[in-house]
Amino acid sequence: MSIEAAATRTLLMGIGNVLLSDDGVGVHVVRALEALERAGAIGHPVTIRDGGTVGLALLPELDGCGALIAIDAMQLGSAPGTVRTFAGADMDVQLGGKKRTAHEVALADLIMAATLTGCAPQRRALVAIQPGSTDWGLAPTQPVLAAIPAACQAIISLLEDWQHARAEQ
Amino acid sequence: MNARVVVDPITRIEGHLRIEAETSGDGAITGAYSSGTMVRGIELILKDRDPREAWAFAQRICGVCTLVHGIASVRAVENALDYRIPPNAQLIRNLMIAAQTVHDHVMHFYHLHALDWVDVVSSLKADPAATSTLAQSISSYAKSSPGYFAETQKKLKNFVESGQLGIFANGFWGHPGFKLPPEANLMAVAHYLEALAWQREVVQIHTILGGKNPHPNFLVGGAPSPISIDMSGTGGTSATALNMAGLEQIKSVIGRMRDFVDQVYLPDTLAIASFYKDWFARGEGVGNFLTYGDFPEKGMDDPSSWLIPSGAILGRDLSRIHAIDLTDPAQVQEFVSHSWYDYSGGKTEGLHPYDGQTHLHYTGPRPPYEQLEVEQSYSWLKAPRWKGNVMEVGPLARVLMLYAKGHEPTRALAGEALAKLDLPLSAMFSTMGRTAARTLESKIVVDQMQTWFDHLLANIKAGDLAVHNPIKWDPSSWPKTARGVGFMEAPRGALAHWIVIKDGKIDNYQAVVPSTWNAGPRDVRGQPGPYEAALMDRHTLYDPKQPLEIQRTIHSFDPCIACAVHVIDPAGEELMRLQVR
Repeated sequence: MSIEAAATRTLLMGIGNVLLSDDGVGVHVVRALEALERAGAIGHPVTIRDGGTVGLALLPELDGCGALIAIDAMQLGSAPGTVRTFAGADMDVQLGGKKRTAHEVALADLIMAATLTGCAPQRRALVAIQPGSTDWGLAPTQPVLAAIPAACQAIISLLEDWQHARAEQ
Repeated sequence: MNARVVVDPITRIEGHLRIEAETSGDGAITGAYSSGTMVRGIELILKDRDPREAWAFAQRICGVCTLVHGIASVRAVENALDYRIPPNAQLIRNLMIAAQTVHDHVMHFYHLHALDWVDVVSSLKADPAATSTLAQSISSYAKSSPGYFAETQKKLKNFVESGQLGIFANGFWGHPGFKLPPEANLMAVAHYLEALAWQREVVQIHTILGGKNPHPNFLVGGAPSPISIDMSGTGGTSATALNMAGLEQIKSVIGRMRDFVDQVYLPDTLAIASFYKDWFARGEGVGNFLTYGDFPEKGMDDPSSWLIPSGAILGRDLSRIHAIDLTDPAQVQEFVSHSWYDYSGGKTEGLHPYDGQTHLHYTGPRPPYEQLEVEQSYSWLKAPRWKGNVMEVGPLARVLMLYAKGHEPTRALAGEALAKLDLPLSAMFSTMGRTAARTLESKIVVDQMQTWFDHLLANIKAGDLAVHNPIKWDPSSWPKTARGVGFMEAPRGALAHWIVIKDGKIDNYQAVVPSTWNAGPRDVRGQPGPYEAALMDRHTLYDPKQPLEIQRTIHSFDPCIACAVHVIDPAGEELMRLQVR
């Protein structure tokens, strides 16, 4: 892959612990995205990664990526299964705020370290899903499971927006 | 908002650790309590599953140590079934474990622990030319020019001025406990950034040998990637099989790993340690050390071929190594007298992991709470003991074991390091000794990687391509019941999974992780765990609102758990609350 090709590729990275039901929703979303990609339904060059909970060790994944969409469970103060997108500066604000949970700290540290070492993706966004339960369990709870298609759709919309933005540049 | 009540964010990594320390009027720590505040429920998830796929779940137990739980899991099944793996698979696993060990040690040092000794903010005052002179006086590392350090300083300055201290936000900058001159601080910060870049290369070993990263594949009976000697096609990280291109890449990564340890990590450790010699005199309270052993040259059933030997050291006596048996019900036992669990035979008994029970019974205060009820149960961690003894596990235990066994490279290396610092061997029993042991171990392991690689290559050249033994793959070949233990030396210490298989399914599964050994609470006899005992070993807090001293000693164990540190004054009033990661 050429450097140019890599730079237009978007990294879709799910974060979370799949043993803790809704905590793992980010990973469940990227598994759904993998199925969509196999079916040719994404339509944009992407690299899909199950980031688990490995934190800073994900830094190598960011290297050379022009764009990043992180998918993660997050306290939004909304009903379980609520999906919200924080793009660009909104993501930084969301991760840099005072009321940070450690989910966000791990992701924030990753972005900071990427910034320091000069490999932060130019375009970035966070697709956040409100969890219901984070007890031990391999599957998300019903409302969060039901939100996975909406999260996938939010990601595909972002990819389209970014492609338009690139075309206009 | 109290994070522990709603989605406990720290659950993403291995668990959530809380330390409570009691201090006397002058700040001396008189009592310390370590509490894991998150349940580990892997045992409940694995019951009735296919033992061959247990690793895929087990590797998610701990967010940051995916590899080690995968290895322990496949070894547990292999041990239960008396299932031998081919020599190539053994060597491939050694290379994967070694890559993880060296990677984790370097990352722990620069990303977490160095910030306990290095004042990042002070490095902004350093003179880049003097930093260059300092760096060149301790190492031949190529990146050492005044321009390089000036550039690093500028990068850091921009970062700090942008108001996003970010990863550095939790430091107690300006605390008088920081002793390094600004130049040494700048050198360490530069190497912190180098370590970030370096780790990108190291993970390639897992990608090539495990098929993917950060969650490499494992296989009961061997290694997952077939070896292909086909010279055509793509290789390296984009290959589906281990081929010559991938092997070449591994060879070059091993070389760069070794260079970084030799030229950066080892000299930095010694340079930093030389300013903190008082930390070679506190922070090791137990004096008992346990290793399970790892890195078999031949097989797990041939302990004479292991790089790291197994055994127990009691009372700091290196002249006597006690043999251990992980299957003996009277040796490794877990106690719950101060843990939020019940045993069917009562809270005072100790259970061997084969007979382990996971009955949760929370009796603590309703969160958010001010203080733990330390006279009762106060942790979700059990208290593992070896023949009733509290044992420390980890790099210090391993380096002491290698030393006690007369491993020549270890003796030479430790001797050289101690001579440079003008310290006796007994200085190793300390916070800084633990930190230095981690560095020495990295050197011992990275030096061995080349040998394993050479053996693997020689096997392949001789026509031996086998990486998997299919003979016991089919459950119909298994006995009706079987049980086994899979153990390894994880970066943080001895790790074992105990499995009981019945009719082809998992009947019981218990993992005793290094942090349970080190961070566990008091036991039925009231003996404190290693973290607790270490903090009670000559620690005085300069400023209880900035408990740098607690952080140094707890971080020297490399807790992969985030920890919430609470310091309580004699009247029981909480002085401060912070999160240290």
